[in-house]
Amino acid sequence: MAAAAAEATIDGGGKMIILISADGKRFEVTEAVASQSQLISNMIEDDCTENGVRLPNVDGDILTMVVDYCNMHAGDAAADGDTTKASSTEELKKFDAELVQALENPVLFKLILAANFLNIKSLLDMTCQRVADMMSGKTPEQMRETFSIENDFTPEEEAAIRQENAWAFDD
Amino acid sequence: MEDGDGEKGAAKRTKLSAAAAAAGEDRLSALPDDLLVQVLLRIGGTTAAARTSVLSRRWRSLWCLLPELDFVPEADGGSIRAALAAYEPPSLRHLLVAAQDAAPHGMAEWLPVAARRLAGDLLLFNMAPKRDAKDDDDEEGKDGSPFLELPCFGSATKLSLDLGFLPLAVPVSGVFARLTDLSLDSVRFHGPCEFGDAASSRRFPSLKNLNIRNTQGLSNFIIHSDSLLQLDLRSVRGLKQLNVVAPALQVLSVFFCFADTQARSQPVADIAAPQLETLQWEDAFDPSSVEFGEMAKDFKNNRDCLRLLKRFRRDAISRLTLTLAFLPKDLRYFEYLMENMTMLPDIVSLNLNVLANAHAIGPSLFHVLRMCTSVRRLKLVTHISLDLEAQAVCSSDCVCDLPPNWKTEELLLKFLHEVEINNFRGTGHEIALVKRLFSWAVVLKDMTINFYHSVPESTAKELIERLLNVVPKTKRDEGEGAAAGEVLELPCFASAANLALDLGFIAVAMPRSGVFSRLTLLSLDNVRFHRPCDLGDAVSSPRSPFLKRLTIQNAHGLSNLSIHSESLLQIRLGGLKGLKQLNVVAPALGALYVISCFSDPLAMSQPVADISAPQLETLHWEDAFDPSSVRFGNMANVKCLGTHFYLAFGQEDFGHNGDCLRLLQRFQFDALDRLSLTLAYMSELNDLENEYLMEEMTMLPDIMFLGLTVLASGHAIGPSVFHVLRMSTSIRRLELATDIYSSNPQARAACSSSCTCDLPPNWKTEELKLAFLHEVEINNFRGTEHQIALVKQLFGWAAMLKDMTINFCHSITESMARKARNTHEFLHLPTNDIRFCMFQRTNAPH
Repeated sequence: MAAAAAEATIDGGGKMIILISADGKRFEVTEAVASQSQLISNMIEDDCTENGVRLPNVDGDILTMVVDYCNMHAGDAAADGDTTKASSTEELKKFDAELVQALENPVLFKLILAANFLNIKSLLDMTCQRVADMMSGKTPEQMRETFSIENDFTPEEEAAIRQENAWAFDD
Repeated sequence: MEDGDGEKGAAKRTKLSAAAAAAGEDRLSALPDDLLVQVLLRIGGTTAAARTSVLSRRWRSLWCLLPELDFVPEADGGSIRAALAAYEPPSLRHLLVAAQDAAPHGMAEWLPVAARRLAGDLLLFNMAPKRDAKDDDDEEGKDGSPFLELPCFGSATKLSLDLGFLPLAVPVSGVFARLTDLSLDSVRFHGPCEFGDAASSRRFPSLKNLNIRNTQGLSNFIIHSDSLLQLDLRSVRGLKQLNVVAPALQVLSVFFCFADTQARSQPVADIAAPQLETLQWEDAFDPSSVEFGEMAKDFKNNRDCLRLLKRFRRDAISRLTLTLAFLPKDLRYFEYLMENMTMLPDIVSLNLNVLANAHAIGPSLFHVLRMCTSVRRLKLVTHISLDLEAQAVCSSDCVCDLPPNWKTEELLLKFLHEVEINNFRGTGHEIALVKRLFSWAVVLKDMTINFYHSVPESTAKELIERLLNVVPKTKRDEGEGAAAGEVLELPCFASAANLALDLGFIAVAMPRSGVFSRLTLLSLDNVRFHRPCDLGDAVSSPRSPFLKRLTIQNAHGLSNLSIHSESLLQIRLGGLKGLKQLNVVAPALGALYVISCFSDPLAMSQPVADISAPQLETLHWEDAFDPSSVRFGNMANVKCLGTHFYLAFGQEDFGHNGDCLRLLQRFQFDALDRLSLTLAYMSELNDLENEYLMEEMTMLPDIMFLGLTVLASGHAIGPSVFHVLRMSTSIRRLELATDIYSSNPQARAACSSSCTCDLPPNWKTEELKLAFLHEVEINNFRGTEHQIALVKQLFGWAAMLKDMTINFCHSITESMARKARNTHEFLHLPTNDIRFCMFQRTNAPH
């Protein structure tokens, strides 16, 4: 995928394509930037981005964030192995960490869905890791609280599951 | 934690559900399964993921969708078995386990279950403290002791097992049908081991890569595999026989298997691998645990090696790795065995490992290279024993440097482009070898030398310089470019007394030997040193026994200067660009001047110096100074001190000021006769960034004679001179020079009337009693208003002044001088018994 993205960067970096969000907002980005999405990269290869790429699953505000992210990360693939980029890579990581920590839960989940739909692996990794980090180290009760998960087990059912998965619970 | 939470959670449930509803809907649970699995994969292990099963019905079996199970940091065998039982999918792609098992039964609980389910790879580490394999020798063969029976992984593709020396028995039946990679580390094979048989094609039809490391109990390894591509055996202790029949094998590495000291049997290896591309045969040994004395004449490693080489003599192979070993101590009773090696294959790249034990490797390397003159690349690794005795250089009568033909005989390595030498320590043997290499390899393009890690940086730098000397000039010039041009080889002046050379920056190489037996004065100006490190050597006592005065000014290429001299009385080093380290041991030295060497603005290196000069009376360190890296030994006799210039106005963290203050601090409790201080002004002060910095100077040593040089750039120096004098009220003599270096007419012009240089104004009003000041000399006086105001104040402060001398600036015109003299009449001298002299120094009489 990285190779494909890099190729697209080199071949069509200058060409612009239009991304259209579910609510009709339009974003003009270079093919190099958009190609970080494997979905769009495939569409570019198939030559079906002429009339803009409609993304019916992605709201405008989420797509704004995705486009920002892709703009920041454009050239990652091309810069691979370039040691002079090391410091800016560090900065980028910091930017990513700050970005993802500032997100409200609902926005974070929408971003996960968008990253999944657009198939942007690095963004999906980062956002899923953020959720995992919010869960790890917490008791089930604290997890429910954090994510508003409703416990639909009866106390008896819950006890039975704990019993069944006792290996996971007895530390 | 979890148990308590259950009860508490139940009690709060209703309330929380309501709160959750209020806080918003559960969007996390609304994500599709595959995305929640992505989250669970990152949660930190399968155990943590499985705990989400109690969150709600939605989460009940989500963890079972995990494609891989990860039991790191660790889980006990029972838990892993239970997890595998609860895990619903029939096949498992990836299993990662970090065990803590001191006995085999923990793994025995889950391995059979895993063997049935695993369709991908297993990575198992036993983190239990590894028992030393050697201590377990007596246990070996006890069939009663518990062992782990490796189950048959019928559909796994990769197994990587680090068992922490648990005993392992290989299954006697069953086919590992899909296994391509097998790696066994820290394994004790149990019972009579038929592992080789097991690993052969019949039972492992797909095996491609086999790695066996740190194992015990595998004495015969006989493998017949049609599929094997790579075989790596490392520290297979007690290996007696190795038979490999592998028609597809490309890479074979055998490392420290036969060299087991405890099993001193004849190593037997038979390898049939027609497709082999890389053979790495490293019969390494550890001299501290390997006794070679009685085996030297029948050195079985050599035979192994020769046999291997013979096997390949007709092949053109791209890389050969060869290890040469020397005995640690005395070689007198042993024979030179290199000549038994009479041929080498045709090779492109030669990796030579040498266990030199401080011996000269030149003869043996020459012998090897003579047999492979087509080599293009040579990598030389000198293995260094941790045994301190072995690190010492061998005795001078050692025979290691024989036969001597390597030093004289011609050897043309006309294809050798690239040489890499590792663990270089810079012994005489090594340097001699590098020198020879350069003469053999006529087309050498690339020479990389990596120093042994314990070689101190300073030594390394010195070695680099020594090595550069070894590089033929033409080659070095190609490399450096800048060093091009003629080099003056300074001859040894055996009977000259004084040598003063201004060389206009031509490159000079100091003689590397010879004694300047009568030389008392050496002065070198405008020099580019071609062999930098030799200077210190040349001027030190052994080679310059009567040298009294040494002056080096404006030199390039002298990064390291180390002088040991019994005779030197005065050293003056000025503008040695790029000087990084200065060591002086000179018991008779009376005066040392170090001026603008370390503080070269282009290099700005940390000054590193070690000065041992107990008789030193005059120290002018007009340079970067940091007591943490500049060490002055005993300097109790210092009477005259000179410092780096001090900027009166500027930015707060101005480096030179710190150098000056640190030096003053170093001598703050010394009673000095004379202090030479330089104050500097920049021409423009009205910038807001320039602060008045004089107040950071808070103390001065106790001095009798103050030499104050002020680079005024046209500014009023009253405030700063006042500040300095206020801290040195005991002075008897003041010598004040202004702008002596300034040739810039602009700098000589008076500053603008709005300039802040005349502030703070207290110098004009505050009382200052210089009760002991008898004598004042002012040089380079130009009679500006600022200067006249200062002289006026000086008369006010120095009530006991007896002698005032004013020398006019040489460029001042006669009329201006007259005007200034007239001005003097306005000074209203307090007493008439002051001897008042005025001189005008002229460059050229009109």
